[in-house]
Amino acid sequence: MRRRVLALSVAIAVTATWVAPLIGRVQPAPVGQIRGRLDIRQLASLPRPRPGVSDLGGRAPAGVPDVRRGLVYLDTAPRSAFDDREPGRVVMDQRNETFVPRLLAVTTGTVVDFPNSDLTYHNVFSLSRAKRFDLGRYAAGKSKSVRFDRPGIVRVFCDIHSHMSAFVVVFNHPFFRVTDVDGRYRIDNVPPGSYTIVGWYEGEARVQRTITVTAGATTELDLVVP
Amino acid sequence: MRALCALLLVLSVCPAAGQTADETPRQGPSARVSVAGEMTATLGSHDPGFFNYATSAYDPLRNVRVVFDAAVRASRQVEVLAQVRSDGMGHGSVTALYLRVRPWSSRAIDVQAGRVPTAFGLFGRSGYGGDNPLVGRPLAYGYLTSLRRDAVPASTADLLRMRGRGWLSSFPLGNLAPDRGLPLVDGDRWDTGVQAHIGRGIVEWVGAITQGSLGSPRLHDDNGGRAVSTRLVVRPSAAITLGASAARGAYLSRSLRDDIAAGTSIDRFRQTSVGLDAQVASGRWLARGELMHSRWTLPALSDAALDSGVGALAGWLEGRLRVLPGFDVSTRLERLAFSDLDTPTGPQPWEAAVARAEVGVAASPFRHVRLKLAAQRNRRPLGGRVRHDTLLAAQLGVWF
Repeated sequence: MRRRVLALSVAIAVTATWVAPLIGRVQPAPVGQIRGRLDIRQLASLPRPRPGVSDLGGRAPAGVPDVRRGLVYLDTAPRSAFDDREPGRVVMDQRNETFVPRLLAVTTGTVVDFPNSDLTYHNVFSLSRAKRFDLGRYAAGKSKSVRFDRPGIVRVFCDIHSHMSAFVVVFNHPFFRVTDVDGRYRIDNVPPGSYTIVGWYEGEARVQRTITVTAGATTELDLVVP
Repeated sequence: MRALCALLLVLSVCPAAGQTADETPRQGPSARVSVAGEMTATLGSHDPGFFNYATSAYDPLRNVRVVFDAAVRASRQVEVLAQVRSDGMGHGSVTALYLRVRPWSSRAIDVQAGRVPTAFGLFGRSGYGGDNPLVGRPLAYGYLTSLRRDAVPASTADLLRMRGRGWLSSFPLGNLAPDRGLPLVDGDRWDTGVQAHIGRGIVEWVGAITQGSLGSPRLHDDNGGRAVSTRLVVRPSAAITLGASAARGAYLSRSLRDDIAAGTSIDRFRQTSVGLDAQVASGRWLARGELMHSRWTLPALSDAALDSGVGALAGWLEGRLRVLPGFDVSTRLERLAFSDLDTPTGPQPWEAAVARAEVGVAASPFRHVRLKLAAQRNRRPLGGRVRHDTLLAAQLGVWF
């Protein structure tokens, strides 16, 4: 009897060691890549400080916000895109009375830190439907954070400095990319299929195209924002 | 005024110090125009006690005010700024027009010349987002006392008779037609002259020489006198701003010259003011307050009691709490009291003291839209036909 039990235990152990991993091993789904350029023909005008007519003197020059970057994303996403993901943490700094970067794209659940790197107070707030918040006034060296739980466009402002504005675009899938300053983008790990791809700039979806992604291949697509 | 025009011309023509013809900035537009606007429409209770009336001929609780601000930057160091304002949907008037010059680009020193923002106090200048969390403005910046620039009392009795009637005051000497009196600080108009501003950050100082006085800013000089005002601001931390202000200027018009003692110079009669203010802000709340004292010298004529002049003390304390994003609750408590005069029946204040409590809520459903609801309780036990009144007001503000 003892021998039988021992033989059964050995068999179970061998099975657990060698067979189970083979059962659990899932072949990675074949994916493709999209890359190209979002050509922004006319850059948005820079948000300028309001005229300081009631000021007793000139103000310190504010920083220049980077309006050269756009966003490219898939309008619809494959089911696998909604699998559980680790929520990330990113930073939108406040420097020289400017949000840096001016455009952030994140997935739902991401926490965005808003440190104040200026010597003056800032008061980050948003009245957008996707996320309404007000961090109150806080001084240099302090940071406050917001978790973005709903997809959508969140316009971010400072209650003290009217010329400070930024975008946080929240997605419930990972198929998006903020372009570099030359407009280049690359979206990786896209499952094969047909999608609508969108070029977004300064608060609006400006251009959209249909694109077909094939497994193991890179699909090139340039978009033009007039 | 001619001197001022000459100065404006010189400042605008001369290149800023430290910048030669070869040092023209290589990048950036040489001229930049920025414009901002704000429209506020207020609908409130009728104010028969004239608690909110100010020097502009419009009831602030029933008014549509449109303000445009503009700045034209000729270079990094020279800028022209202007403000045009319209009340009651009427024609616009230029309420500010001045040149701002920064002689040294690396130093925080600015010279402003023209119709410039008042240097005195905390509330005389407005800022982004509607600097006023309520609908009413502090009594010190608008409430009309019975004193006039073009008429004077001959006796204490004349002065006492006008207590609480600053909205339509009259005296037996000078212009006999009833008219609006003078506030401590005219929050509706700015004075004309030159001011210098030094510093930024922890310590700032501003000094100004202008045409009129705090309560009677002038575009054109009317008495040959000059007003001197100064303000010092200290920020020991980002949360705290402390300010001290002082101003002195002749306030009586030269049209009174024949009505006062011969040989007496009209610019002897001055308004002298000092003030302290503080602002503390952190997180979702902001508190600020101010205390100011003003004194006016009066022609004594036959009444020696007027010889020492008359004074006023104003104080206000305001708090704002942001309870939700875009939703604030605010309150302001204030009092305006006046000095005593010796009268046959004993000392009496020359004007009727006023106390006010105001509470309000403000909501911004969108960033550029602001809705306010406010209620204020006014008390003036010693003068005026209406001794106390509760007023309600709603205000819609839109800005860009």
